[in-house]
Amino acid sequence: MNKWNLIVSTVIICVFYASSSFAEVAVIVHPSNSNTLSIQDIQFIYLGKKKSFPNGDEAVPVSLIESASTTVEFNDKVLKKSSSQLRAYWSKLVFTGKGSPPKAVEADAELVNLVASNPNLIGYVDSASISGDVKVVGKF
Amino acid sequence: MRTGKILSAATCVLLFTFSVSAVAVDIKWNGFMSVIAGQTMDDGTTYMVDPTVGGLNSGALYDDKLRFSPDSLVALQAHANISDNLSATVQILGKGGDDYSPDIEWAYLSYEFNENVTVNAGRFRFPAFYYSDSLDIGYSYYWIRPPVDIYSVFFSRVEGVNVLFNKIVGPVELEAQVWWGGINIADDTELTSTSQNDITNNQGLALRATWNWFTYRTVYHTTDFRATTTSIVENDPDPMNPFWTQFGTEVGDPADFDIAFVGHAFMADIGNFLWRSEYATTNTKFPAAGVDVDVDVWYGSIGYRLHDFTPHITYVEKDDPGFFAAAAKTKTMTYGVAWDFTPGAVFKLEYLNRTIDSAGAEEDTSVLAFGIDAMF
Repeated sequence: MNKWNLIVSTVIICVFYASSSFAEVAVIVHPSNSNTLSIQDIQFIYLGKKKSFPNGDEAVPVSLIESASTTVEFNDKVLKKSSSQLRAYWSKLVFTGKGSPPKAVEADAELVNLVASNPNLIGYVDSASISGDVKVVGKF
Repeated sequence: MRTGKILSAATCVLLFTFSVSAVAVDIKWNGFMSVIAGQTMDDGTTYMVDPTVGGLNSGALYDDKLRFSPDSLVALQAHANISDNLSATVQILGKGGDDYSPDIEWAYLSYEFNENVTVNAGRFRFPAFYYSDSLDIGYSYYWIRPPVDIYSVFFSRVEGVNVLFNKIVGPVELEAQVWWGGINIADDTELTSTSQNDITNNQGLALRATWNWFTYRTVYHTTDFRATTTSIVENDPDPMNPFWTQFGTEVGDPADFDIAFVGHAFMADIGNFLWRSEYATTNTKFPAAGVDVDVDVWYGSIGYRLHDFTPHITYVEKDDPGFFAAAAKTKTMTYGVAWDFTPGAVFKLEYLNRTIDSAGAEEDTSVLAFGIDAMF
């Protein structure tokens, strides 16, 4: 690879990296879910403090894996906690029997499929990954 | 004795694994580990960090040589869902201060009635003060250990039942926990006088309200405590000795105490500032000798989140009018920093200075400790 190609590749990679840092996070639910959710509702559900949607239906949160950039965005913009703070929060609950963190899946596509097939699930993905099979309740 | 304990703990985990696996149930494994070293800064001084592991001659004591035992520990927890609402959890813990002897710290069945009510039964750490039930999980707080002046109740677990209530009212999160249980523990250090301790009617109620950045928690907890002397040693170095000789307790004699604990905790997370404080009173009644004593402790702590670093400063004050030992006022300052160097592990460095004012004399102790708390 000559020097020119290397420079162009680096610039392109940098542009993609920069744009992915400002990626939008979309919080999604099943299309039949008619609830309106505030950021506090989403926080309560993801922190295990609430196990139902405002209309009383069971709410089961699903996450992406901790290392996913979308997870970092979600934790920062919606839960307002860093990875370490979230781990410390869950450690106090997991080891005293008061709760456990949401199940985590590796890929956006997998999460979209799960939410599209279960009316009780709530998830978050990069807004570029949403399809018509799910309903968006918030973008951050 | 130690081999027996390891075998029984391992057997318990294996039986748990096999009996649950037989119906193809997923077991979720978690754990935590602390590797901490420390020492006192002046020759001949000592600092006790965990009175639940055998008192003065245990490994839970810092002295003037660098020690890795007092605050180090490891725990492994297995959790399995038996049905939609029923789960089983077992946590095996080994403390450096106890030669890493594995012990079943928690073993309980949990039944979720609905989203607001859960009942647990089995062995559990009772939630006496704010950090009591999660005291072993260094990763969950910024100190190496929460102020020992509050967190030094000589027993930490009971076998019984507890009920957890949760409710969200608007932006306020409410939680109530009530428990009842008991436990029988042998105080079996070889070099001091010993007793068989029977804890019965141990019950408590804890209430917590969290509103955005502010949390208030209060607890009321009472227990009956019967200590039956099993051996008396001459020239006993244990400060409990005056009790045995002063009240004429002989081997086989039971001594009955009524103990009550009251605590208030005020916690606030405002932006990057973290405020931690508690006030606790322990009332001990020994009716046989007409003794009724209140020990008061309070602390205030400020932490500041600066990227991955959390420096903190804490002041503790304890007022003990004297019962087993002479009356003493204790003041402690702690300065420390926690560094979240990777998610799941935090490096901590802490320096504390304690002054005990007792019988007209002042005793100063300083401790430097550092190490890593991790969870997985």
